[in-house]
Amino acid sequence: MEQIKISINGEVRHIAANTNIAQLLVEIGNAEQGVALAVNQAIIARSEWPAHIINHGDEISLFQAIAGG
Amino acid sequence: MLTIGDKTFKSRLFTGTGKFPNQQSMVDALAASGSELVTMALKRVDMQNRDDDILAPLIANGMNLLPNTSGARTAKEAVFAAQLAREALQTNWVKLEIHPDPKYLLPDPIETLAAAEELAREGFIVLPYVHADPVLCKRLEQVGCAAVMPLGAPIGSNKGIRTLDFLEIIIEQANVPVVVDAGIGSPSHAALAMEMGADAVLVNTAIAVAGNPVAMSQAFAQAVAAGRQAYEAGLAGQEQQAVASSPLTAFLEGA
Repeated sequence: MEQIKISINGEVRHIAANTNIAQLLVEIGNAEQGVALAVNQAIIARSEWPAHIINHGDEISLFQAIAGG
Repeated sequence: MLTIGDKTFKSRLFTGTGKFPNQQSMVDALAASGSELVTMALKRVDMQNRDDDILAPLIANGMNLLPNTSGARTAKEAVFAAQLAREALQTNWVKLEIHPDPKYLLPDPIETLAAAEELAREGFIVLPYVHADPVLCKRLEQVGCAAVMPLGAPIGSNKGIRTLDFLEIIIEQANVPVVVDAGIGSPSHAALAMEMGADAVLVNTAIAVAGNPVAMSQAFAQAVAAGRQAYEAGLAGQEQQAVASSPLTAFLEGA
């Protein structure tokens, strides 16, 4: 299977080509609620995750809700 | 009942979720407080060291979530943080906070106003954290903020309502709810803010780092309710001179 190289919060990862965002989050164990994500600094709406295919070289930023005042 | 944007609240005590000794203590204290709106922050996921999922128990308890933009130093960063928070928490509510200086964490008024205008235009329910500046609060109201959140004292300082005279002006002039945020260190501070006519208070540190957060959250809930009731009852005015509470009859004279 063809692999592509991406980074998630600065960490390099190799994933299968044609992976979409929803699949990626399951793969890295971050599919729970309270998560938001940007690809190359553009925020991808949750509703677009299943359709958004990740490309070679994409820089993914992953955010999560935490305690705060 | 307090209405902000599209929501109504029975409790006028809003709470933060930070600084609790552990997650169970936070969940228990917030449940005991009766608070219906809790703040949260957003951070970049640490791929090596995952944080606990604090969201599930809050949602299970029926809390409304108010994500903040803490960490943003400019309007641009705050707008980005708000957009991320909207995706993460599926809410268009945002506590807009922009404090570039880590020592005093005082909010930047110029960046805050710019971000508030942009976020309101994008359909966010914006609650900006600001200094107790009456002019700025009116400007924020004019650009579409759903409420204003002036500070009593610096974040986490527990110093109380140090901005009293300016909060009074803000409360007098506001056409949106005024939520006194930051610096409230004890239930009496919260009661004072409510007696002055604040619509709500936001408390985090004073509950989270108390010896017993659950008991302290209940104390705050009572203080907020008492302060509100006193405000609605109409406080008696102050006098420079004594005004007798008992009839000054002269029955002892001549004894």
